Amino acid sequence: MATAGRGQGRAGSGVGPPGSWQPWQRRGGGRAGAGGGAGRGRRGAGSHGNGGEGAGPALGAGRARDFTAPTSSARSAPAGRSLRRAGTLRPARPRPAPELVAGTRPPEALGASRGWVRCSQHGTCSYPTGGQGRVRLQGKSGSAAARRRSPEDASQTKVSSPFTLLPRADAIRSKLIYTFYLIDHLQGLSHAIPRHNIQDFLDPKKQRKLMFTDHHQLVRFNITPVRNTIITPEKRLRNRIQVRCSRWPPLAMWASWVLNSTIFKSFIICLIFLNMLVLMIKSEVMDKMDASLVSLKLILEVTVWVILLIFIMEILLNWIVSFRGFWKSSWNVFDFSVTIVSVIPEFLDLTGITNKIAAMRLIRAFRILRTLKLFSKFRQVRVIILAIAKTLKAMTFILLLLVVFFSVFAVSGIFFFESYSRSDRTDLEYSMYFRDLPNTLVTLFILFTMDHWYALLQDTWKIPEMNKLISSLYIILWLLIGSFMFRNFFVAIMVTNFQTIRSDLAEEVKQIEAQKKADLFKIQIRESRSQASGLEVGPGAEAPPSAQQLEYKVVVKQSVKDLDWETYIHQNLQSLVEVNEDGQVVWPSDSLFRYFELLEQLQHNLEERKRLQHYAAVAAPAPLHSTRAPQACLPCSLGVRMQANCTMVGMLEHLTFSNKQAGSEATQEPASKLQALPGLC
Amino acid sequence: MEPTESFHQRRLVSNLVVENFKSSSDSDVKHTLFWQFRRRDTEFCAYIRRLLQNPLLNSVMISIISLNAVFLGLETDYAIKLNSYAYLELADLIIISIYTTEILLKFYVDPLNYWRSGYNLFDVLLLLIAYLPYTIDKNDIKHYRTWNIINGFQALKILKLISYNRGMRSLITALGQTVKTVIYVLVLLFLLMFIFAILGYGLYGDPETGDSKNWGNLASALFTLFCLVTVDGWTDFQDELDQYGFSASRAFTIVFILLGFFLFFNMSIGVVIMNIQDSTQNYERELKAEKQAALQAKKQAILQRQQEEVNMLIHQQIWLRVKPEMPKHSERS
Repeated sequence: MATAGRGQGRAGSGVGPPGSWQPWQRRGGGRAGAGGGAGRGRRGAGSHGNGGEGAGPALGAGRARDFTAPTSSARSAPAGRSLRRAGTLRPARPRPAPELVAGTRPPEALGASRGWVRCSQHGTCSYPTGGQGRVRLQGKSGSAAARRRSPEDASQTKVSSPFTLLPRADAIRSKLIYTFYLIDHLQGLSHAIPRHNIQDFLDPKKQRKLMFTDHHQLVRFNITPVRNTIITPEKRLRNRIQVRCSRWPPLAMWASWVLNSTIFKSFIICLIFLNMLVLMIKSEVMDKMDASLVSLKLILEVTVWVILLIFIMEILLNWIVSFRGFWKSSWNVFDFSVTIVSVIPEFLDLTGITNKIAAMRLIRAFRILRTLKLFSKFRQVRVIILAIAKTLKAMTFILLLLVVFFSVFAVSGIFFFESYSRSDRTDLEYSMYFRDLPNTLVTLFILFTMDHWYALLQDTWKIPEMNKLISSLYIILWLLIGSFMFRNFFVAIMVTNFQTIRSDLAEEVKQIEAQKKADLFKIQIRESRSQASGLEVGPGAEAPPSAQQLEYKVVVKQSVKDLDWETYIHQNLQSLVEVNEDGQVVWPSDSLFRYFELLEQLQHNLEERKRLQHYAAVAAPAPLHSTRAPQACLPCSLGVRMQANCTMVGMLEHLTFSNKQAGSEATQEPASKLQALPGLC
Repeated sequence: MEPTESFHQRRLVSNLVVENFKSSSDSDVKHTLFWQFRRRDTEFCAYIRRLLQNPLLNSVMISIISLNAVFLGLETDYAIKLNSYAYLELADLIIISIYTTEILLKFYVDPLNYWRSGYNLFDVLLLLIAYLPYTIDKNDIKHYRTWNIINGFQALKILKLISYNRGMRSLITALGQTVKTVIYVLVLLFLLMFIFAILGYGLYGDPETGDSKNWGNLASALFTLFCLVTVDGWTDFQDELDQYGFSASRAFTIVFILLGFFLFFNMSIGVVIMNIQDSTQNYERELKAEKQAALQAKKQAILQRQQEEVNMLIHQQIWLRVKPEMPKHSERS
């Protein structure tokens, strides 16, 4: 009765995510009652009391103290019921012990998940479970694992031993165990002995103690970011779906190759310079009506047109590579707009709107704008322009304030200097300066640059009606505010921003350098290892492309022979350490539990999907021979499985999204987490 | 109770709790006007206070001030003023009434602390300046000059825009700090100019033998020196002095330009740079501290939630224990 009640209380408390592995959860629901279960579910506050530590949740040595063995708990029938209710495909297990142990793998069979065995506290491989005696790992776990794996696909039989199947799922499972300190639990640290009673929670002092001595139900786990510095942009372009699924030979690839080749780039730069030169010569030669120059003029004109056509072709090539991607980069938009603007006068010429000759001469000058294309070609120029753009963004508020001050002084200036503007004296030089709003704005700008301000002031003093005090006060105040203060502000903001930008860039460069060194080191190690063991380095085994490989190979030959092993490692250790910083991420434990669960389920589903696809491929070409029924079965089961897969992925995404919203210290994007975890493909 | 749903609901609730943490610090309801006098109309007061913090009101005020600025600009043009002076004056009257209403509302909400905020003081000053044109008689010729000057000061209304944007306000406070330091530099510069002005007046300010136009009295000497500091047309002044035969004045001018322009002027730039760097660092540190505080608040919320759930659980357990015994009680009684 009590267990049933407690079991129900447990199930109804919403302690953990539904349908989680009940054996793990049931550890609290047994004899310890709801107190234990609550204790498990609510790991109390750790050292949050030390205010202002600010260093993330205080996890420290927080252990899952209140894990009791799953043995006693899973015996209760409600366990099975809640299992079913949760909707997982795993039926209730009457025997928890093999289930428990099924999570563990015999050490020899594990490839990637060997690590967790070593990091267990006592370094042993046997995990006694309380109350059930020693469990033999080999046989029982194997069969149990097989049984565990087969619930969904009871129809399909796993032939080979489960050890070789799905190493990824195993890895995820072991990561789960490691993260949740389940090893200590398995070793019997928190045995079947119930640790806490409900009385413990009714006593407020004890309750506080319990709540405050454990961490916040937040689990710290490590993610090793997978840095694929080997993926080059060319590779990325090549892997685009558009290119892979195209029926015709991919034109985009050729276009991108052309655009990124050094010859083409230098050719374009030469063309830009040539364009500039030609236009300069043309402007000199244009007005001279010499007969001998006619051929020269013709050549110049033709050259200009040809260069223009080549520029347009370059833009077209960019569009072939990717139309959408073209507009995403602002440098491309700049290029495009410059070309279009410079082309407008030609079009106007062709269509015959040549009446407005004055405008035509002006617009003809736009041709020279094509030289601006240079800005997008050189990397240093780009960096400088980016720095300036960033600075301008930082200065928006000050510019806005300056505009406000400009308008204030303009309007008041017009009123103050009205008698000066309206006077009939003929010897005033600057009488137009304060006449109306546009003029006043220009005057204010002139005063901003402090040019001839005293002459202007003395001019205004010539009028007797002018109040000398007001005019001099006005001008001096504007000088102080405008050029003293604002100019200094501009300079200061630019200097500060340039400093930050430069330090950022330096940091980036340093990081890239460190990354390169670390990669180089790794490749060297790999090379030396493969050389030492005498294995053939197959083309498929090595990930880096051949160019880099050649580079590194040359360096390997030089460096490995010079130094001895220890100094070599020692030299490169620092860079490795600083590069491979694991991202410390913190999630609530129930989310993380569910996440790992889902990941493992995903592996199974993916495997199943592969098999189903295989079956579909096999079944499809033979409709006549097989009967109707199995064929009808397959697509629908396919559809169901595919749907299950989709929902799985959807659940994962939903979970990560909700964690993104409510995670306590989500320092990285959940998408990167998804990718970084070794379980996902 | 579906566990997943409550899980997510609890997340939202915890977020809400964080919000309450933040906003509770802002509003402290004052129910007292002066020491013992309590307000009778607390509800209305609270309503007005809520109204004043409404962002819609913010945008309305900003648009009105911009309209005012536009009308001020239109007034400067003689032709437009001639054609539609009636509309402009009407618009001016309406806008002034809106400003007055706003000031009165703010004053009503909190009479004592109203004067502590600089922006409120500025508003009152502007309002007084805005009332000035209506105090004089425009049709009187004698008052033409004053009317011009007063109209000139109306342009200050545009500065009201600053108080409605949070970014601008923080910028102004940051600039205020730097301005203080710049003012010290300016005071130093003025001292230097004063010394050199006296010197210049003594050397070149003699009415008969010297250049009395530029150095004849203290005011003109100061102006000349200010010209030298801003290096605007200083060669002309030097030429004039040469005309009067003071060829040794080059030393005077050059020394002063070195001190005033190269030293002080650029020193003010350096001081401003230092200040702005400091204030940026402070600002970033503040942001970080804010983030940490928000994080702590979230953790508190999680803990609170946990405690609540444990309590709920305990109550449930107690209830389940107690429940089987209840029929016994009922049987007995």
